[in-house]
Amino acid sequence: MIGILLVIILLTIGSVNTQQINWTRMFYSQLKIPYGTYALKEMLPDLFSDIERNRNTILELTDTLQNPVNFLSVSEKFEISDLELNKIMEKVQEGSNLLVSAHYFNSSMLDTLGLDLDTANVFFGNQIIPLMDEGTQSNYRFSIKDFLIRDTVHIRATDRAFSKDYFVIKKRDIFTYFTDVNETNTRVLARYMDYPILVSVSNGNGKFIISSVPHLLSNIYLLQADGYPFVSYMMSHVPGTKLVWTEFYEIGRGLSNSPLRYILSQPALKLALYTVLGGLILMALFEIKRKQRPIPIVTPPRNDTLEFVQTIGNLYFEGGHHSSIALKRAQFFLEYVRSHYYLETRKMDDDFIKALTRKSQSEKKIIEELVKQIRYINSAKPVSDELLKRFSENLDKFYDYKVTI
Amino acid sequence: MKGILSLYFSQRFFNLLWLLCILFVLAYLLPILFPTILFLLYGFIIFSLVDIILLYRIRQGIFGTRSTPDKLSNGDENPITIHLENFYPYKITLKVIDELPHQFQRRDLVMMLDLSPGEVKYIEYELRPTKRGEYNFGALNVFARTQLGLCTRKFRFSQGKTVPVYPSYLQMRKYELMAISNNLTELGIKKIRRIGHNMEFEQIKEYVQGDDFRTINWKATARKAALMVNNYQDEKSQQVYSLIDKGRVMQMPFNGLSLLDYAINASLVISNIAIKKEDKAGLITFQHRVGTVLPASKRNNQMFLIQEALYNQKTAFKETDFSRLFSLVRNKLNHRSLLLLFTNFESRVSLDRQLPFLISLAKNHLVVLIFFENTEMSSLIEDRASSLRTMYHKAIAEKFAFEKKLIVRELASYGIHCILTSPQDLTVNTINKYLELKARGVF
Repeated sequence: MIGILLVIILLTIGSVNTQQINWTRMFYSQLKIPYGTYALKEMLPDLFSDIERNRNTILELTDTLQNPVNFLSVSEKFEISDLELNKIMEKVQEGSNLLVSAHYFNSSMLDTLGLDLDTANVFFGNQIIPLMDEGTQSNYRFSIKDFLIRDTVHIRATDRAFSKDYFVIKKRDIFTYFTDVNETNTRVLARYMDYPILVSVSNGNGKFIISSVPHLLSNIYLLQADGYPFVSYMMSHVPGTKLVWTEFYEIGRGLSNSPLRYILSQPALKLALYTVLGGLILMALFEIKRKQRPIPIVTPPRNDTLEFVQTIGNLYFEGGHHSSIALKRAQFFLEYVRSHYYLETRKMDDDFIKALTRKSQSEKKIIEELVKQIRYINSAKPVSDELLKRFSENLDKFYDYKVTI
Repeated sequence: MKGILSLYFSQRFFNLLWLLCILFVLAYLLPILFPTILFLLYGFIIFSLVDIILLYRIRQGIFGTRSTPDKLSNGDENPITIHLENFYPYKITLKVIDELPHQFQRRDLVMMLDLSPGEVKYIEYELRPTKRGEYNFGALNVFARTQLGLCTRKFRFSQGKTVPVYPSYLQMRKYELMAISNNLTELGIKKIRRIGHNMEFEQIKEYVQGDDFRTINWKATARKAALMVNNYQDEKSQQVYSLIDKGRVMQMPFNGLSLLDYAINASLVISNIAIKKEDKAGLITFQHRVGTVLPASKRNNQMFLIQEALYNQKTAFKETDFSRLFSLVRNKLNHRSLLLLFTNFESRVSLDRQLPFLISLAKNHLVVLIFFENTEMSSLIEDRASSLRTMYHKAIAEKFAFEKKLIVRELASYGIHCILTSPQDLTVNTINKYLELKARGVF
């Protein structure tokens, strides 16, 4: 019962979690998050008949494309090298158009285009200036109510030819705006109050259409009723039917800039790699199969006699019972003599020594000494280290490995 | 799917693959080699495919079976035979992995052999189980590969066979023959081969070495011109009971086999011989209480009953209660019987506890107490002692060995026969004792 309850609770928590919205900014055409550009990808075919999406740099694009086309990039930052800038300038002169929407641009590009960028003050400039009409701007009195509730603002389109003249956006989504607009070849296409956020810079036969609010192209605004027109508005300023959309400046190249790229570009190395991979896969698939069934480990019963005897021996040793040990060895020796040589051991006289020498083939000297030592041990006098050692050695010499239990 | 499951690649296959890989790296450094190595790669792939086709062309390319005895004999070497046959029209190299019962703990039973087309080969190996019970053989795995040796196909035969391990019936047969044929002297096994000095005449037979020359029948010798002796019948229909202690003391293993199993093997052999000698064999097992009681009998199926009873002996190795045994023997055994009591005493103290019961048993029956030398200690006793500490160890070992001899002497003074034997010689010594007692007509 508790288990079922737990499962239900976990499921509920899980389902709540999945509903959380990812507010990360990532202007990537595969993402359906609010600030992704999946919707843009879906809508562009309405505006251009020939669309190509890739992750190439401007340099690569300008090298490969011959005819004038429209380039599009939507990213957090749009930073290109001087070489790329020169290339794209050439292309634009020839009639291509570059549509860029980003929060930040590198200064050399801005300088070339005669623009400058300023950051919208998030705490002040963005938040407190309320929605208002152009005419009422100067005598508008700011109230605390506006500060609290007005979070959407209007972007004004300056080109009166377009059907709609404003676009709605959340104030917090405007990060930067243009300043120092060079009036000669630059036209402001859209502004928020006095701040241009979409400009068109003519250069030769082509134009740069630059926006500082990439959010306007993200899913969340495109899917609103007022959002879609902005895309149309921005795109309506470029002619032609071909659009090349590079996402390099937002997500980079992805996988393909690894060292593997080089290996894969060399046929020999590529085959070497494939051989290794193929071999490993074959090994994993075929060699991990069992060749015989598993055998559980069963420990066989152990015979602890030796350990037991040694423990007892150590106990005696710690106590230093020399005489007791000597007596035990003597007893065993005499028993051995009785059972192997059938000799009486009660009185160990010269006859005994003679008989034992003859029967055991041992040296007489050893047997004489043994008899003497046993007599001493039996008399219950203290036994020294030296005597025990000597006695033990004599016994070992006597047995000379002949002993059996 | 089954084909894929039985497919393996050989070490040679992978070695060549790694070699190719190295060659490709080499070809990167020396581009001129590249076409050659590419050619080698294609060749390698083609040869591998050909090898697979060669192996799988014939559905049942290899035939194999494992034949095991219906039951295995505990503590003996049991022969196992593997039969292998090649149906491929070419030479095949086989690697055989037999899945042995887990009790053997062997993970390395791998055999390699070559089979020419149509050839039949037998592999024989021996297994020595040390525990009674069910033994489960797994599959016989045969890995076949052609002379290309790139791929391997696995065949599985004789899966899941269960074989019971019985008390040593192999020893039973062996000693049965020896005891009956009076051949034990030849092998130095039987010490007293005279088959009894009862007065009931059985037959006149030719004298052979070892016969008691007091029984020479001179008249018959004169007629035959060869030495002839009278043979007298043994006493018959005497009861022989094997009393097996299943207690704690019998748990000690020697050479993998516990003392209990040695005792069980020996009782099987001795029961068989007793029945063959037309005595009645019975069985009593006991630990903290009496377990099996099989009344002595010499009927035809008695041997079967004893074997099954011995096979089914289970024990918790509890402390043995001799008083229970004594009261049972007192109540159930009305005839004077030979009681072969298999137990173990490690010291005088443990004997003293049971001595009153043994003496009481010996009043009505002929008791033979069978207990064991501790052969584990022999290494300690037989080695030279170098340090003072090892001298102590040695003295203690000698003390234990000596005490066992004292036990024998003490029991003899109460008229109780003893066999003090190493576990390995248990069966032989028991048979000898039985034959000796029979010959002396003690019971």
